[in-house]
Amino acid sequence: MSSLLNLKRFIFWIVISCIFTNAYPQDTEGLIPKSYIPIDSISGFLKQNRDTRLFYQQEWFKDKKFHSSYLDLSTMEIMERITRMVGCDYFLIDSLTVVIVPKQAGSYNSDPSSSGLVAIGDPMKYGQSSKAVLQGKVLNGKTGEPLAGAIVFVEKHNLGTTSGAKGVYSIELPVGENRLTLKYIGFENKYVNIKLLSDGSFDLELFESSVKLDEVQISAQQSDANVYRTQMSVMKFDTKALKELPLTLGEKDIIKSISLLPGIQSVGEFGTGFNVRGGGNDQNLILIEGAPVINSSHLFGLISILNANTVSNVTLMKAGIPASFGERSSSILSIDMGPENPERLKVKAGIGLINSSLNLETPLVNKKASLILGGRSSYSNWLLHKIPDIDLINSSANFYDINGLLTIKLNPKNKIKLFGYLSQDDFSLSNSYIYDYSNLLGSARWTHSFSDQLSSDLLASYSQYDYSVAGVDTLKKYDAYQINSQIKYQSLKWNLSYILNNKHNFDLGWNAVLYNVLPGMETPYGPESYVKDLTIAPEKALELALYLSDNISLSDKLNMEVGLRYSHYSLLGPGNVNIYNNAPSLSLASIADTLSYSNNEIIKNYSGPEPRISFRYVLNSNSSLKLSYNRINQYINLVSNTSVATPSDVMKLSDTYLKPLTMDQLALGYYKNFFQNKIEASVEVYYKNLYNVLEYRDGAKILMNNQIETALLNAMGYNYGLEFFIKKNYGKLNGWISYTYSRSLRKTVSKVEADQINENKAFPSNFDKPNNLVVIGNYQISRRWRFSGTFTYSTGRPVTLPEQKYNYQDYHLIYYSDRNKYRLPDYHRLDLSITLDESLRIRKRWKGSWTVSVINLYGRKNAYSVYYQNDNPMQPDTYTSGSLYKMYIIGRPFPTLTYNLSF
Amino acid sequence: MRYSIILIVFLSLSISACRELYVPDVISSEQALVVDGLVTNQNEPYSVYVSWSVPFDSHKMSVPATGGKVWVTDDLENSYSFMDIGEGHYLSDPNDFRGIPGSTYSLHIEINGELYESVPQLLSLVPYERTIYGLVDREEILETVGSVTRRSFENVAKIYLNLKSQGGSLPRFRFDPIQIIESTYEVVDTLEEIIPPPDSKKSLSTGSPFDSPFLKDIPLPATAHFCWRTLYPEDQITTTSAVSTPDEPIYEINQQLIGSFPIRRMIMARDTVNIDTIWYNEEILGFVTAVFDTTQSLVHHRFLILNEHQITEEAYRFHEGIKEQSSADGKIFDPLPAQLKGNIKCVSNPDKLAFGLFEVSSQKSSSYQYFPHIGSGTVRIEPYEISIPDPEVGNVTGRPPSWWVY
Repeated sequence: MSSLLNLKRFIFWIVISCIFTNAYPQDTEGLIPKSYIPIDSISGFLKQNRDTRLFYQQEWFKDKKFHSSYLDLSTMEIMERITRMVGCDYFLIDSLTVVIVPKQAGSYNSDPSSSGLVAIGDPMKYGQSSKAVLQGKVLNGKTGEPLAGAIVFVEKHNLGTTSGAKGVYSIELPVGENRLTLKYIGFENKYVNIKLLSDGSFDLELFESSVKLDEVQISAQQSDANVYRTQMSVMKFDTKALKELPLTLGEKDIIKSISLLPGIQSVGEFGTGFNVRGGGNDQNLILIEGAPVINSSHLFGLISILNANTVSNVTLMKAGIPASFGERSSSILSIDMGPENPERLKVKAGIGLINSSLNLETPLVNKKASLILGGRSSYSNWLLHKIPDIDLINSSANFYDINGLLTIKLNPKNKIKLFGYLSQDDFSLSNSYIYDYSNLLGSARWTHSFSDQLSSDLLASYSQYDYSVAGVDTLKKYDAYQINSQIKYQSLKWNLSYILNNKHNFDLGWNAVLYNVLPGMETPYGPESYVKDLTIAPEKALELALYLSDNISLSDKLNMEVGLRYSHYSLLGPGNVNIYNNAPSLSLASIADTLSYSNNEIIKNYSGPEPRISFRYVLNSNSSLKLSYNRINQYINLVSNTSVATPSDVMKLSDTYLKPLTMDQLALGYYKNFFQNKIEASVEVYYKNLYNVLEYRDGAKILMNNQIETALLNAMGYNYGLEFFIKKNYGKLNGWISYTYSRSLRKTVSKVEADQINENKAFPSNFDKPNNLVVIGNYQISRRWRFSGTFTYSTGRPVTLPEQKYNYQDYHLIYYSDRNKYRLPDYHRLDLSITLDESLRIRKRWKGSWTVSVINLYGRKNAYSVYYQNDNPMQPDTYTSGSLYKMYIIGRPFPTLTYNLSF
Repeated sequence: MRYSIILIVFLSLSISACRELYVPDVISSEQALVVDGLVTNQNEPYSVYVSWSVPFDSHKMSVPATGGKVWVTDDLENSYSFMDIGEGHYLSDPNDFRGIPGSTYSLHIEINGELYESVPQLLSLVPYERTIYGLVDREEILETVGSVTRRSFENVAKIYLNLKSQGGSLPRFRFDPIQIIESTYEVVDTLEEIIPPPDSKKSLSTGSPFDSPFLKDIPLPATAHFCWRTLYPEDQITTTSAVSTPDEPIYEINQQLIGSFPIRRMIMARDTVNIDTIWYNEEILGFVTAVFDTTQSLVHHRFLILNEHQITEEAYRFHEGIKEQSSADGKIFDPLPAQLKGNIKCVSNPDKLAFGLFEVSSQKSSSYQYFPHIGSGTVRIEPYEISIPDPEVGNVTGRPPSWWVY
């Protein structure tokens, strides 16, 4: 009852305010606060600051003043508000010319979210043809950022399109009046009534929805973007969706959430990164503001490198990757930072289980610029010390990260973004191994718009990853060592987007990447160590790529995106290359000579075309078929013989003997939405051929090996799978079910026995988990109570197990099976949470909610690894000298209680 | 906006990362032949040990492979037979067969109707110089009893080698340091335990045992007790990690650690040892026991027999594989397990598995006596001719063995 009373009071004061605002008489102008300005001031402002001309009759605005805060709004919003107040309509001649006209009877403005009638094109050409092309950009009305994947649809004619990567759209429509429908999830739907006179351009703006989404609504794709977008296998998260990510250990974690999507898997509770369609972690190109990230996690992989609070957009591409991207073969994960509102100062702080964060967002220079600063620091040692494992009790782990983004809008046609990031991790494992690693990222991006059709994007980025690992065995201090390594990644990329007409949308550009890898420098650790200095020769390489792509609208239903990327790779000196004699297999004994190369001398060249093609055929308004093929060459690979990626894994550049990884992927998808897009569903199948996948020989020494080519093999890879995805977007009950059947196989093809694994028989890769099921559900029990649950199931990953045992001299030895012959037990886990929102009746400056969540509700001891360990004989007359153990990380229900604040 | 700011309570205070025994459903393959063979350039009988592997879940560790035929051939097509002396041990005749540097040898085993062969192995002998020296150091000792780990320090003698090539680059090495400890204790007393004779009605529980009427034929107790022990390296076989390439040939290896030996005097025996038996009417009546202070040995000698093997690359990888497998303890980032490749194949049936190594290596043996000096931090090492005692561990009272060093 009291809330109703409060609501009434609120409405009363709003009405009174409006009345007084509109009732100021002209002769009291002197009494009007300076915050109210006439139409002429708005017109002058638009002309001066936004190059926008406003045409109107002075008499319509006689005695009318508008609040100066309107100037902070977008042009369209200003028009909406002032025309609504004076009872007029407006239309746009082009994107920089607005005409205000008297409101006409029967206008299309009846919908509260629709705009006025907008005339587009040249009136002199009106009637010359029956169809015309409408093109432009779909923008976030608040930030001006382009919105990729937004739907532009004319229901009457059943014609539609989606905006591309730069927010650009193009659609051919019948001339005359059309009602455009704009949709983008997390944003208010918008309806724009246009009168299309001839070919013309028109930028469309959308504003974020104020409707609260349910907790784990993580896909930000517009509800039927999956049907209309040409590109397939794309997952998008925007600001709104990121806020609703599932919590991992009380934290929102982008990488962990991504692994819940079809075709994507994580290695388990611990582990860095993720695997996409059977590919290794190194086959994912992770870009933060265009800067590549080498190691994307903190704390053994418990937390990802990203602070979700500073991220505005995340896009993951698994197939049909555009020609403008390359370098890594499995996926592209592009992460953009951005403020929630670039026009307001905002400070965010968070205290989590293992770390705290502080973030600042502020506008600068009359809101022409915005700045984001953020940082996190950990205090996670206590958590490790609670784990009843002697190794982890004797371990420690700490990290911090800081990041910043400065966005400067020089003018409507030029924008500059400067980004920086630094992180540092250190942890020791049972006091025997000390790891230390850091990421330093930076990028500068200049976006210039020559015209509505032509724009360019120049990006310079830098990434440096340093790590060191020290082995400090207290019983062998003479053997204590430290290994330092470094990877530098310098990239320059230029992209030109050109909209030729409604049928062709071109992207062309080039990309240069300079790699510098210091694989390892070993030094003694401590004064008692007798370890000798050893440096593995540094590697340097330059990768150049040219690309051209065209998004072609072949018909109303058929769209095609075709592209070609040509990459050229040069391994550069200084360096030495071992020359091996005619021995069938590379080995130390077969080294015949060594060639030396001077600085920047070309040691080895590789090059090749990387064709890309995607088709989308719209079957009807709610279903489509898509087909894509792409080839990607990858010139840098992770060299690892551990089951889980480690911070100290070696990155290796392609060289004379280790050839570039080449991946061909063919994918087909069927997409269908039901019940007016409430439910979307898709089925995708894919097949990948991988050439020159790096595999290691049995017992290979990977660290500090100057002849690492003798430890590695070029193998073949075959990945294929089938992905089902069904998702309910709205309603009290929402969520999704995803099922993936996939295989990831490897095979050596050498005739030489020493170069064979499992006698050249195909064997599962470490990422081969055929069955993967994810069920996520959210249920709004009442206005204040929400319930959500996540169930994950996957086949256990492949593992090599002991089959026989024997004695050799005084050693009890094990004969292991063929590589990856067996599997760990299946993995499954159920996480539940329930949230209680505080009553809105209680008047506070903030509103909060309580969330109780339980990870691993039924306490399954999912195997992280299985290993053999030498034990002491348990009984003198038996030989149980060694046993097989299963290690698990979260072996019991793990409850947390979280308090959330909104302010 | 909605924003998570405070995480208040963490209800469960443990994540419970842990381990438990795991019994997988493994399809055990057929038992495999296991070979442990060694041929050197030394004039001695060479041994080949042959056994069968067992399934991983078996309570046995291995089964000796008896009844086989074992022989070695060289690149001149000479053949040398090994004699089956039982328990899977086959021995060569030193008068018939001695390894010659530069020759290539292959092992052949015929057993259970199958023929197994090794990959031919070259016996190489690269001339090199070497210097042996030692330093006293302190090492941290961690001793875990139950859940308690104690930390202490002790002095150790560290023995090093400097190796220098004489003309070519240095090959792989396997070092086999054997330590022999001699210790002499003074007998401080003797005790007798007398069991009353069946026909005796007199109690023997009173009086000094030396006054016993049953001791009249017993010789006087000795005044010294001599103990010795042969210690093989507990740790892994040591090999050089350096490898030469044409571009960077290895001519020298310096500070190659051979072993780290505790300086403290070991307790070589129990503090009482039976030194004689008391007989009465052909029945054991009791024992004479020597008592000595095991904490104070009169003399303590340390010897080192060092076997240096020049091994092949295959043998090096095999030994490294053993080292890696033996040290695996389930660390989070442990390397994935891998099959240990040997150099034995079943040529009559490629599906049959065979494990182990037929090692052909040139061997150089030398022996030393070393004297650690804690004050100066040095270890004096002097050549001394000594062989592995037979038995390898033993003790004797009164008169020392013939090889004893005074």
